[in-house]
Amino acid sequence: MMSNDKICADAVEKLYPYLDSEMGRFAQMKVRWHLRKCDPCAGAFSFQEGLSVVITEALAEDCPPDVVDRLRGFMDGNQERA
Amino acid sequence: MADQKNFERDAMEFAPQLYSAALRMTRNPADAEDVLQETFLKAYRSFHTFQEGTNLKAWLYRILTNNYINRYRQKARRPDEVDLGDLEDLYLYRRIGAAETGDSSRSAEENALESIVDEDVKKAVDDLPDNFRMPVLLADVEGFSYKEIAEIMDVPIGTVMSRLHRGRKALEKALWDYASERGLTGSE
Repeated sequence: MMSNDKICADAVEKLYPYLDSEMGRFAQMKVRWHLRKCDPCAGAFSFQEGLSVVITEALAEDCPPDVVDRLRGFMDGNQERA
Repeated sequence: MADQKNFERDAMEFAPQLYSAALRMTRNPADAEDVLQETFLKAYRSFHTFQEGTNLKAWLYRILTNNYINRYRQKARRPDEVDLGDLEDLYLYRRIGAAETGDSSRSAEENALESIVDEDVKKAVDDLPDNFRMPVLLADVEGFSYKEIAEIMDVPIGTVMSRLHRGRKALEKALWDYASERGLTGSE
C-alpha cells in the first residue's frame, strides 16, 4: 500500500501555487525543503507535476500556416475598407 | 496609447497561439478561424485603447475569450455557471495508491501517467463547464499566471484560483472514471 495517509495537509494546500510558481521565493523554498524531508509529499508532488505535463501535451494544437495567411488577407481587406 | 499602424507588426506574432487556443475552446477548425479573425478585427479597431508597454498577449486573449463566450458558447449550448461541488485533493494519486496492491513504488505512478490517453484528456477538459474549463486552458496550456487569467476573464484572482483548482480536480476525477470504464485501474 502507498502511504497516502501520510501526505501532509499543509503541503497539499500549497500544491497548485507551488506547481504554478505563484508563491514568493521564501514560501517556495519552504515547500522544497519539506519535499526533501517528506517522501509521501514528494511522491504526490512529483506525480502532480508529471500529470501537468501529460495534460499540457495532450491539449497542444498546431496552427496550420494557411490560417495565418488567410488572417493577413482578411485584415488587409478590412483595413482598406476602414 | 498604441498606434493602429503598428497593430500587425505587434499582434501578428500571437496569431498561431490564439488560433490554437480558439481551436481548444470551439473544438472546430472553422469556428476557431472565425473567432481568430473576429478577434483580430476587434483588436485592430480598439488598438488605440491598448496601453503600450502592458501585456499585449493577455489583452488579445481577453478579446478572444470574450468573443468565444459571447458567440460560440451559446451556439454550442455549453453550460456556464455550474458548481462542481467539493472534490478531493490528489484525486487520481490517492486512487492509484488504493489500486496498488504491491509495495509503494514509483513505477505504479509512472505507469498510471503513461496510460493516460490524449483523447481522454481532451474529452475531460471539453466536459468541464466553461467557468472551470477556461482557467484550466489559460493556465495549463497557455501558461498564464493567476493574475493574467483574472485580467483576461475579468474576475477576481481568488475566483481564478478556486475555479482553476476545482477544474483540475474535476479533470482528475474524469480521467479516473474513463480509466475505470476501460478496466485499467485494477479496482474491479
